Amino acid sequence: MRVVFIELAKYIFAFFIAFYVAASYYGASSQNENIRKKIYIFQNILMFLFHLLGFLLLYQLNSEDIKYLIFYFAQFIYLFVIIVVYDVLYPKASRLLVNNMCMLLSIGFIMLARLDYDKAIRQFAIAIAGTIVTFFIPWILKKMRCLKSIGWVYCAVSLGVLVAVLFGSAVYGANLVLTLGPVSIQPSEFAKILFVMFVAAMFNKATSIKQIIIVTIIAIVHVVVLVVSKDLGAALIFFVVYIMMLYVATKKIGLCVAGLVSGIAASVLAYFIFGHVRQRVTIWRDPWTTIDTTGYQICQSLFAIGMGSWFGYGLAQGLPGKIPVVEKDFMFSAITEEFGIIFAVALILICLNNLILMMNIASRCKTLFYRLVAVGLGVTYGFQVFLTVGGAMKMIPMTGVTMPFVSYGGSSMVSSLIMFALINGMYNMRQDEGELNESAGKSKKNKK
Amino acid sequence: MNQQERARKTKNKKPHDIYENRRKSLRNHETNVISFLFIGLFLTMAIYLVYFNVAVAPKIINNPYNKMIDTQQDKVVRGNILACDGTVLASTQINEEGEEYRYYPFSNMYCHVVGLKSEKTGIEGIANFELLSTDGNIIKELGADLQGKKSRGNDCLTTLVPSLQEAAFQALGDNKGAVIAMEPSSGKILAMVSKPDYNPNDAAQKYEEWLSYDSSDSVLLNRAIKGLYAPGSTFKVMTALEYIRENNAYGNFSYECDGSAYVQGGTTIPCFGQTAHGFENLTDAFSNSCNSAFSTIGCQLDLEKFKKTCEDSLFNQSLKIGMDTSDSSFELNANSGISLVQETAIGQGKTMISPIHNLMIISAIANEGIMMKPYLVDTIQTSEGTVLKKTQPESRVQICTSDEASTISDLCRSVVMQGTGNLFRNASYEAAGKTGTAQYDSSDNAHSWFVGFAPYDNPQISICVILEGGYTKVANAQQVAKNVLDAFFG
Repeated sequence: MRVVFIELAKYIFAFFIAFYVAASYYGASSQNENIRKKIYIFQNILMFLFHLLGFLLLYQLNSEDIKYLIFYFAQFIYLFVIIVVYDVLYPKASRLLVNNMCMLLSIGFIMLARLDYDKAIRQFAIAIAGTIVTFFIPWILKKMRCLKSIGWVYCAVSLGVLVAVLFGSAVYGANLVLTLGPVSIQPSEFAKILFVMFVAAMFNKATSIKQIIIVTIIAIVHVVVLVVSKDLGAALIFFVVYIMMLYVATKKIGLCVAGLVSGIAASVLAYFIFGHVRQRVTIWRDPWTTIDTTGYQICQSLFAIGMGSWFGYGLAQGLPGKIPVVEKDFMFSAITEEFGIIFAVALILICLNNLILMMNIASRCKTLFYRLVAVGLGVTYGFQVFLTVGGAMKMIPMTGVTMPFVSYGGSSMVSSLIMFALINGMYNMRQDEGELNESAGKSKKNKK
Repeated sequence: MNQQERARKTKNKKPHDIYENRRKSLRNHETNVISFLFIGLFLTMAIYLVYFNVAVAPKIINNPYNKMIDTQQDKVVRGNILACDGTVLASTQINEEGEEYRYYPFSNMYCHVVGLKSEKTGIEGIANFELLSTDGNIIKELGADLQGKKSRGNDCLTTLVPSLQEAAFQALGDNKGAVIAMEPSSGKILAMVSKPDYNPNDAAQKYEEWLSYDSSDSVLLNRAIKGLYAPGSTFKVMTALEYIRENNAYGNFSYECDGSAYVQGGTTIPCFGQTAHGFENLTDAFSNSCNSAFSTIGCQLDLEKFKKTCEDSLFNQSLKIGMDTSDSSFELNANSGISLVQETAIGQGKTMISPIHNLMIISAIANEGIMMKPYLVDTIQTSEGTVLKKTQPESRVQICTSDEASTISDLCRSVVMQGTGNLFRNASYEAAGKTGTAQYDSSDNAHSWFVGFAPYDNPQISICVILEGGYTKVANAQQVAKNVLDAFFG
C-alpha cells in the first residue's frame, strides 16, 4: 500500500507542477487583469496542495513522526504570510514572481526536509528572518532616492568582503566563507548584489569612455579576486553580469563581443595558470576514469539524474545522499532523481519565468539606474541557475553554485530573497497598470 | 477628458515613477536581446536534460558505482540469464529460510562469462541494470505491490551456445588458458571459457579465499578478456598484413631458410626446433611459421607504418567492447633497435595481446577486414518472453581492405593445407588459421596459441585458444580448437 501511495504521488507531483508552469506562462502573457488574478489563486492552490502532499508523504515515510506535520504547518503559515503581505503592502508587486518564489521555496523545503531534517529547520529559520527583513526592501527602494548616487560605497563593501574572504577559513577547498563569531557567511552571495548596484550607479552617472574604463577595471578586480579564492562560479557570474549590464548601458553590441572574447581569452589563460581551473575542466571532460576520486561527485549526480527517468523514483525513494554536498550544489540532481525529468524541466521553466519577469521590469524602467539593477539581478539569477543545472548534468563544468531558494545555505537564501525583493520593489514603483492601459486607449481614440 | 486629467494628476503626484510610458516604446531592445539569449539557454538545458535521459543515461547508469541499482533488489526479483536456446544459466531461487539467492546450474562451466551477481562481473555486471528492471508495466507492478509481492526483473538472453561452451570447457581440461568462439560476421560470442575456474554457487563462502590467490593462479581472472600474453606466431598475421600492404609484388617474395636468421646489428632468430625450411615463398614462410623469414621481413618494414597498421587494429587502444578488457600493446617505432624489430615481427619482443583481441583480429580477416564488436547480450526480454531490446551487430573498425583480408585468409588456409595447422587437414570442414608458440621465460615452457575460422570461404565461426605453458593431456592449442570446431560442425 505504501508503494502505491508513493507511486501515485509522483504522478500527482508532476501533474501539479506541469499545471503550475502552464499557469505561470499564461499569467505572464495575459493582458486581462481579472484572468490574471484567477490564475494567481489557481497557482497558490496548486502550490499548497503540492506542499501538503510532499509533507504528508514525508510524515508517512518517517514512521508518522509528528514533527513533520508541525514543520509543515509552520511553513504553510510562512508561505501564506508572504503572499498576503505582498498582496496587501505592495499590491503592484509582481504576484507571479511572489508565487514562483514560494513554489521554489516549497520544493526546497520538501527536498531538504527529506535529505536532512535539522538542516531544513535551520534553513527555514534563516528564510523567516530573511523574509521579514526583505519585506522592507520595496519600501526602502521607494523612499531612498540616494541609492543611485552611492556607487563607490557598494564597491568598497563588496571588494572589502571579497578580499577579507581570501583570508577566511577554507571550506571544501575553496575559501568562500567569512566567519564572524557564531555566524559564517558566504560574502560572494551578497557581493554580487552590491556589484550590480555599483555598476548600475556608475553607468547611471555617465557612460563615457573614461567611466567605462574605470568600471571595467573594478569589474576585472572583482573577477580576479574570485578566481584566486577559487570561487569560479561567482567569478563567471560577475563576468557575464558585467558584460550584459555594459551592453544595456552603452547599447553597443561590439563592446560586449569584445568583452566576451577577452573573457574567453582570460579563461584560457586561467586554465593554464590555475590548477583548480584545470581540474574542473578535466573532471568535466571525463569523470569516468576518476570515478573513485575526483570524478565521484559528478558521476553520482549523473546516476541520480539518469536513474530518475520521466517520473522519478518517488519522494525519499532514491539515494541522493550518495552525492557529496547534495543539499547545496546538487539539489537539482536530487530533485530529478526523486521527482523525475518532467518535474525537472518544469523547474527549469519556472526559473526561466522568473528571468522573463525580471527582464520585463527592466525593459520598462525609464531610469537607467533601475533598468540596470533589474538587468543585473536578472542575469545574476538566470546565469546562476544555468551554472548549477548545467553543471549537475555535466552540460558544462561544475562550478559549485547553489540553486536560488532551493539549495541549502543561509547566504544563498538571504541574497536570493533580497534580489527578489528588489525586483518586486521596482514593480511596486510602477504606474498603475489600469491607468496605463486607459491612457493608451484614450490616445488611440484621440488619434481617430 | 476628465479621466486623462486624473491620470496626469496621479502621474504628477508620483515623481518616483520609474516607468517608461508604454506608448512611446513598448520594450527596450537590449533587454529583449538578453531575454532571448536566456530563453535559448534555458530551452537548451531542458532539451539536453531530455536528451540525456533518452540517449546518454542508458549507457552510463549500468556502473558498479551506481548504488541505486542495488536498491531495486528490494522491489524486483533479479531476472534469469539464459543461453541462446533458453537454457537457464543463472536464476534467482528461494532457500528454506525464504531468502533469495542466485543459483548457477552449470557450476564452473560458465563461471567467468556469466560472472558473479555479488561482484557484478561478467554478464551479471553487463546486464545488471536490465536484470533488475521491469518492463515498465505500471499496472502490473502496482498489482504486485498490492499483493505484497516483488515484481519480476527482465531476462537476459545471451549469445552463448551450450553445446559449444561445454565442448570448450571439456577441451581445455585442467589446463590454464582460455577459449573464445565468435560469429565473425556479427560479433556474437558463442563460447567463452577461462581456466582455472571456480564454482559460482560457492562464492558466498569462498570468495575471500579466491581473492587471496596469486594472479598466475587466480580463478577469478577471466583470461579470455583480461589476460595479456605475447602473441607468438599468431602475430605473423599482422606482420604479413603489413608486408603485403607495403609490397604489391609480395608474390615474388623468396627466402632461403637455414634454421635461423642473423641480421647485422641485430640478433640471431632461430626457427622453431631449429628446423631449416629451405627455399620459401610468402605462403610457405607463413604456413611453416618460419621465424627466420618473418624476422627478416620485419627488418624491411616501415616501422611507423607498421605501428599505424597495428594501432588501427586496436593495439595500444582501448577495445571499447563494453567488457572489462585489458589493452594490448605494440611498442615499435622508427627508433627501435634491430633485435626488437626482429622479435616483434615474430610476435615476441614487447608486444602483448589479450585473447579476445586476437580473436577480433582473426575474425576481421574472416569478415572482409571489418572488425565486429563482440557481444554477449543478445536480447533483453520479459519473463514471458516479450522482446524489449535486441542488440544489433556493430562494426568496431575496419582493419584492412577486403582484398588484403582475402590474401591473409588464403595464407591462413595454407597453414592448414601445407603447414603447422596439420590437425585440421582432414577435418570435415575447411578450416583456416594460425598457430603460435609464445615463450615467456628462459625455460622450455611456452604458451600455445591458435586463432582460426571455418569454413574458410564462408566463415561461420572464428576461434581463439590460449594454453598457458605447462599444459598437459593435450597436444597444443590447435588440438583444443579442433575439438571445439568439431563439436560445432559435428
